[in-house]
Amino acid sequence: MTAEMTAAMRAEMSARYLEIAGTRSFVLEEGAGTPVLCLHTAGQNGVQWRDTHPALAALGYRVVVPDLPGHGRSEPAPGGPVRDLADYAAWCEDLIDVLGLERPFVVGCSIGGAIALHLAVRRGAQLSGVVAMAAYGGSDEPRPSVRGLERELIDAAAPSRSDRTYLGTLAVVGDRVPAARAELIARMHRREDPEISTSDLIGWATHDVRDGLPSIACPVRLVVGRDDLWVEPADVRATAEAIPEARLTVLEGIGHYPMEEMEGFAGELHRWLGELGDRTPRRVA
Amino acid sequence: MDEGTHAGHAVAGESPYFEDFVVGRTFTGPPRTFSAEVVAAFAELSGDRAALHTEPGHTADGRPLVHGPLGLAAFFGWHHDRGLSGHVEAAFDTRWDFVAPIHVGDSVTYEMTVTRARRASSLRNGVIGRHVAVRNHDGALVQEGTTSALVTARHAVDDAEERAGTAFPSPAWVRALAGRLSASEAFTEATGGWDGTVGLRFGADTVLLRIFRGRILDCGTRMPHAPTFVLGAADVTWARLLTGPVNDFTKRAMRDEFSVSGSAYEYLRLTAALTALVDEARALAGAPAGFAAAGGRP
Repeated sequence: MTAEMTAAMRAEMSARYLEIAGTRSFVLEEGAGTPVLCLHTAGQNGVQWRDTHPALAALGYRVVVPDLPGHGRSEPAPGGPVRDLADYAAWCEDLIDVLGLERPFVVGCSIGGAIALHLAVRRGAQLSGVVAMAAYGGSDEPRPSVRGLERELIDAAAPSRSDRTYLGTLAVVGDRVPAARAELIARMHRREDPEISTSDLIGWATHDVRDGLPSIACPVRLVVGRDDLWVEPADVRATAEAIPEARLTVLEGIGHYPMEEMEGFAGELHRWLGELGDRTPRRVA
Repeated sequence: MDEGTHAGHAVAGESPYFEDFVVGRTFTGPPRTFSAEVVAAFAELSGDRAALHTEPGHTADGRPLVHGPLGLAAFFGWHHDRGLSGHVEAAFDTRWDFVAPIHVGDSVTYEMTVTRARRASSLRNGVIGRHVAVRNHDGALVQEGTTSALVTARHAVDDAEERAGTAFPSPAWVRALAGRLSASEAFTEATGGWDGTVGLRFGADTVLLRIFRGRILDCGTRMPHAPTFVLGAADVTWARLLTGPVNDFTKRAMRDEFSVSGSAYEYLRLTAALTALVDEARALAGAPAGFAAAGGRP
């Protein structure tokens, strides 16, 4: 049994429904200390952090894991499925304020990573730092095709959706991940609402905060898995180069979901957060 | 790669026969440098003495450009140097792309993958399809091509049945595949509500499978009606997919190694069926039963 499993069995997590930006939202918390806001990927929910929050809480953090509007146990956003990641960023700001999180770290993956970068641009001076995984600030060649995604939204019977999510997840999990773990991740990713996921992906394909990257006022670390077929390392590198003093970590044998794929992820995240925290946050002039 | 462990070298010093070029095998070797002297000699031999190849200052890099056909010619030199040409009777059907420039002084490596093997009707020789990737010292692809060779067989025997598993895209192969698919629960279940024809295109050659409610009604190269969709890729993509360590079809599809013509909707609908089809084609080729669609994972 792994250390994380043991910690998970002792988990003293608590959960609440909170009214955030007009949405009745499910928010899980565990631990006390510096707040860490953990943001999930497109179409998924906070369960992706189930191994991370107990282990991270044990290392002395207040871990906050929400389900974004329309995901998991949160009700949909008042305006329907969200297609603009800036709307999720605004929702996160409201969540930070409602919970009174003092200079939190923000950690996200995929659209969660992109939302974390939005937050760094919007209120970096009020954050301790950002870890953006499997994400970039924008791309000259956005993928997937927005036209194809819009077609998929209209075509309610878009065929083999669940199979494609399952097989597509297996294809972007890293080579280092044991087969049984990859199978579990892919099987759980089938639990998505196609309308929400596809809208998330439109948000992913169209988001662009590149103009704001040079003025980010908190330390940032970008993380990308070598086996991630969704993200071009060149786009991540360009984002890292545009952010003052940003760090870039490439994970060998890992794909698009580091927090689900890596055994001992919380320990690695703790190290990254420590390095971010060592640096004096700069204020915007 | 696995150079040196091939059946072709089973007898020390012996050049490989037709039977030794097994589909999916890859051959590599040490780098080859194109010196100014070699390029000057090629300019004389070919008559292409253009300044681009003989004087500095005509390229973005400044150095003269190696003749594209020298890269191709040197592949045959490499093939001979590696001891692979001893039983080659002829070469034909050669297609070559000049992907990026090779400059005088650059070193390149050749990587040859066997993509097809078909014994001739005389049984005494057979045609080997090869894919060749040429990379420079930085690992960048500079040339890529395909070329076939007629190679003498060690034994003139009719072994079509034993060879059917890697004889794609021959009629014998698609018949053997149809037999396996009919017995595959994953495939018959996934196509249980389907009525149509699936085409599989290997380079320029397409084979068809007529499917009705989980049964294969017919297979071959012609049908009364057009295929519902055709899934196509280069020979080398199929060879690697069907003989590689795992079924990584989804990864290759995500990397745009496959193209689809006809009904894209029905192609998506058969996502699970095509994964099962690749599993069966891999089993037929004697490839390991990889965790479906998971890439690179043992």
